[in-house]
Amino acid sequence: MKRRTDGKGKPKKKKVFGGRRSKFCKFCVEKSTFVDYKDVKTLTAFTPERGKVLPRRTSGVCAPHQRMLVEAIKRARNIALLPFASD
Amino acid sequence: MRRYETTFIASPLLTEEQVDDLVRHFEGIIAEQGGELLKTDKWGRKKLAYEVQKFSEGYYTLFEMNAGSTLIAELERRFRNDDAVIKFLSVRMDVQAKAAGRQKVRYEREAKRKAQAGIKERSAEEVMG
Repeated sequence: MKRRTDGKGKPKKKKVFGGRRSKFCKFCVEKSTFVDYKDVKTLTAFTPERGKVLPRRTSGVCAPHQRMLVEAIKRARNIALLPFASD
Repeated sequence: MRRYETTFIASPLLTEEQVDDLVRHFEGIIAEQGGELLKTDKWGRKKLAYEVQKFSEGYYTLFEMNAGSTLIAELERRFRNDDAVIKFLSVRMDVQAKAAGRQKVRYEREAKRKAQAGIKERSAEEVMG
């Protein structure tokens, strides 16, 4: 997608998601090469209240990282760091 | 030899000293079976995300080691037979390292593509807003 620029050459922010700011993959920004199952703080950010995995369409995580994330969440659940389901 | 990470949860009924004894016991088994222990990480008493054998707390311990598959099988067998261990998980880390390498290649390819197309890399602060 091309970014329009104004007179001063600064990129103008285009409103794509109905005024909301655009999504980005957190892991790509950090250039992380794998997601650790022991890092509960990161994993809880992607598991809302019920304990389900946040879908990619909501979080904006890219496909390769989502695969790693899901693997990490499943491992964390196995060792009781994350719940399988909670109310 | 493969790289493994094994985490186990000890029963909350044990005292700190008993847990230390248990950890030493398993360290002994790893050494005895020809494994190379790289790190032992005691996380201490932690709350579990769900009940395991009616317990809602437990002592977490992490072993990082180079080991053969027979050692892992033996270690897991002992975990299963030991009543003090309520849950355990073994993960092969060399597979993960391989996947990490693939991801690195992806980043390099992307960086190359961007450099060729003349797109400047945006900093983390810029993307996060």
